[in-house]
Amino acid sequence: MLKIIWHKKDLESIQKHFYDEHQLVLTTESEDLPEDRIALIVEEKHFNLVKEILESLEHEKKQVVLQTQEGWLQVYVQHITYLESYGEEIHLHFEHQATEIVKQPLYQLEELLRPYLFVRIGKSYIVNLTKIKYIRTALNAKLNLELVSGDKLSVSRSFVKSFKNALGIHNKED
Amino acid sequence: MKLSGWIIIGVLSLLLIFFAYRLISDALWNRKLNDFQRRQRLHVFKRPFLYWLKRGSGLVISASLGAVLIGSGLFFLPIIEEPFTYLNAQAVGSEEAFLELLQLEEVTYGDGWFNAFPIGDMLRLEDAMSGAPEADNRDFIDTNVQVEGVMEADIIKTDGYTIYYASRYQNKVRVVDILSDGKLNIRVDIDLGDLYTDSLYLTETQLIIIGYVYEYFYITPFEDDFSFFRGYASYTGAVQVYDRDTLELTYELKTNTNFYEHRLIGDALYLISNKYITKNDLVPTYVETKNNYVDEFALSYDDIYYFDSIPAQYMTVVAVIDLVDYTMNSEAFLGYVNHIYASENAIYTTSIVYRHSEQGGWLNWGYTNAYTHIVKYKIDSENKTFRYAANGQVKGYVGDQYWMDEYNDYFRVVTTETTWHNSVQQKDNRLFILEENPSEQVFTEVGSILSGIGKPLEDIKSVRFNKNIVNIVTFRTIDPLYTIDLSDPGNPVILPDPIEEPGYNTYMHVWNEDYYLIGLGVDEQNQVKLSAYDTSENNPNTGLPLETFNFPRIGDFGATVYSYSEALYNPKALMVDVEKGIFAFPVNSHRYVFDPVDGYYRSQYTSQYYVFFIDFNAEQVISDPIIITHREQTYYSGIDRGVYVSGNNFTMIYTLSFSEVVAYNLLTNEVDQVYPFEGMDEYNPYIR
Repeated sequence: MLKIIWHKKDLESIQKHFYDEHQLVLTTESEDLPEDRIALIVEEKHFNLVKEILESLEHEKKQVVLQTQEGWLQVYVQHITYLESYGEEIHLHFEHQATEIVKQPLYQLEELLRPYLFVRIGKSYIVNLTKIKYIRTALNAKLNLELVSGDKLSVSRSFVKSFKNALGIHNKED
Repeated sequence: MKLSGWIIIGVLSLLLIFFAYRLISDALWNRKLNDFQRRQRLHVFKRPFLYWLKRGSGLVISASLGAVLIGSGLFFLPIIEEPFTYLNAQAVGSEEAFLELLQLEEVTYGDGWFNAFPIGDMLRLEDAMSGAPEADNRDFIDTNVQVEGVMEADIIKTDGYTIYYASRYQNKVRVVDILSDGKLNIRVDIDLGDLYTDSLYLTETQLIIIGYVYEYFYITPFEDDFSFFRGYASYTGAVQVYDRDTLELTYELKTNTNFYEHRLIGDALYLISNKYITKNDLVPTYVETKNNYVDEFALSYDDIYYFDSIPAQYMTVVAVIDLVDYTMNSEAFLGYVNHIYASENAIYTTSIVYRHSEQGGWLNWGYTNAYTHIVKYKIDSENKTFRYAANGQVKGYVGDQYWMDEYNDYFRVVTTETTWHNSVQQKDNRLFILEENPSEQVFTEVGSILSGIGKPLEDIKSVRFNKNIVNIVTFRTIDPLYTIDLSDPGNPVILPDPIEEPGYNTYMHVWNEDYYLIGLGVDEQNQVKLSAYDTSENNPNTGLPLETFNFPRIGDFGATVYSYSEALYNPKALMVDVEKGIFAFPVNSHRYVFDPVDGYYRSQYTSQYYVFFIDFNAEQVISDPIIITHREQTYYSGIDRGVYVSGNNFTMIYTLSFSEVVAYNLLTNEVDQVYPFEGMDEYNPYIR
């Protein structure tokens, strides 16, 4: 038996996430819960599932601190769709067309973001794998990506292999 | 397919492969992405239908474009032919060059003497037939031809409504109408003057008469050559086209030689002539009359070709007349024609050439080393054209047109040869399968059988090709009928157990099954006989015919009867229709009758028309014949042909002879009426 305790104000978003993505129901009907807490009672065979869900929730919650011209910027990692470098500046693109300019080398950001399913797809692009909607193969052996934000990026020929691995490597980790 | 077709179809296929590859890799990549999203517990994006439609559209469009292009045959037509150059047929070019060629030939003699009398050949003209229009309510049996779709001329043509009958030795064509009740109306005779004809053709609107006028005189072929002179007949060959409604002459073509052989294919009339060459008469000349306008012209030396080492006493003139607009084209090739074979795509001519040895010169007098020179002309009856295609030689000589055949682009020919080695006779019967080599314009031999056809000293008597089979009858004392399997052109095989019977066939007709044959021939006493055969392995009478009908040898009062039929050597005298099961032909017989008044034996001629009904499923395959007899004459007046016509309320066989037409009613099985030709009762052909 595993017991996880959350803050009650998160109930609605967690409830929704569990139901929408995994068809699991959260409830507050329990006697021995402390005030403003909820509990999830899970059978053992669902442990792995719950663990993964929680990890992905964790990813969503993850924040990084980046240096901008105005100072330090704290961003939710999963709000970034992709990164684009213009000379010394790095443009951070967010789901709702917002951008931020960061003064940090791209390779550093790549290292920083790699654990959160970001992958380099070109000399000056890093994409968030979780934000890809479709993939189209193009004439010149490149791949065109359409992101959830509607942005279109292409994977250069020399990065196709690492992109493919990034999609696949996590398979092995499972 | 045209080159542009190959290129476009090729490009389309490449596009097709590319689009297919792209669609598949799209699907694979997106599946990978979906797997990833599923694993990461992310939202899995389903690709909308529109996405696949857009990605698949290229594939669908290129595939359907390719299918339409290939299906429509856009690139198959028209086939543009390159200007065709004759490789081994060389143009003579000028009169000087031509005379020089002839001088060379004079020294080597060539095959002159025997062929100097083509009159005999003319009398035996085995020609053939014409297309008559199919009547709505008249059914008739057309001329018996070798190749379906290739009409051969005959002395009788009908379309079910009118019979045209070339009464051979009277130089006239009788026009006889068949009325709606089957009665006849002898309408008119077309008087041809001096023109002898035994060749008629019919089209829907035209009656075509091919004949010749000849005179005998003696010539020395070349001025300074007194070594021998020849009796020679000068020909004026003529093609006359009459309007069938008005019987008026609408077109005439005359030439200074004969029209030896001919075929009608659609509206294209192909004519093959043998032109004997003398110093005063070197090239074919024509007199063409159309629209009351007379045009005289000679064939240009540029249109006369020769082959190396082929004798040049004669030239083969090939001509084609377009019967729609009456245009005419001709070319000439030095060398003689003995027989022709025509399919819808090609005409083959054969001539015999004698050779002293493989390398040596020409030898005239020996019957040794006979070769058949075959020339192929490709024809296009749509455009009314022809061109030389190939030539080559095979050992031996060809007996008649039925010894040749074209099937699946292979030319198959049977030859026979008699040779003497130290006064010992030897007969060689051979089969060759040839293929045209278009790049060198020669024949290449694909397969052959050089021995095993016939026992020693047996001659070939008749040949019939039928797709992948050929039946060959050989004879000396008994008739073996061989069946040869040609399905592998490179390896023809003589099937075992030939059928043997007394006598031999001179003509074989393939019945409705591939292996059923009807054979017409003579028995061991030279009387006409008719046999039915099953040449398959399942022949219930192994090694024997199924049935044979022998004509009577002993007539009234014990007199010996000698029977003969023109159909034995001229298949056009036969009336054959496999569907109706009819096999009919005239038989003329004569016997000596003692005349008690003056105490002499006289010849009495009887002419009868035998109608057999053939049914291989019946117990008796060859029915008892219906015999239609013409009145006896003291001179020879044989039945020439029979004509089967059925209308809405009659089914008749009309038999035509020199002197009368007998209408035999097949519904009541009795003679309906006799129609004598005017003046023929008193006519005596020996006093003319």
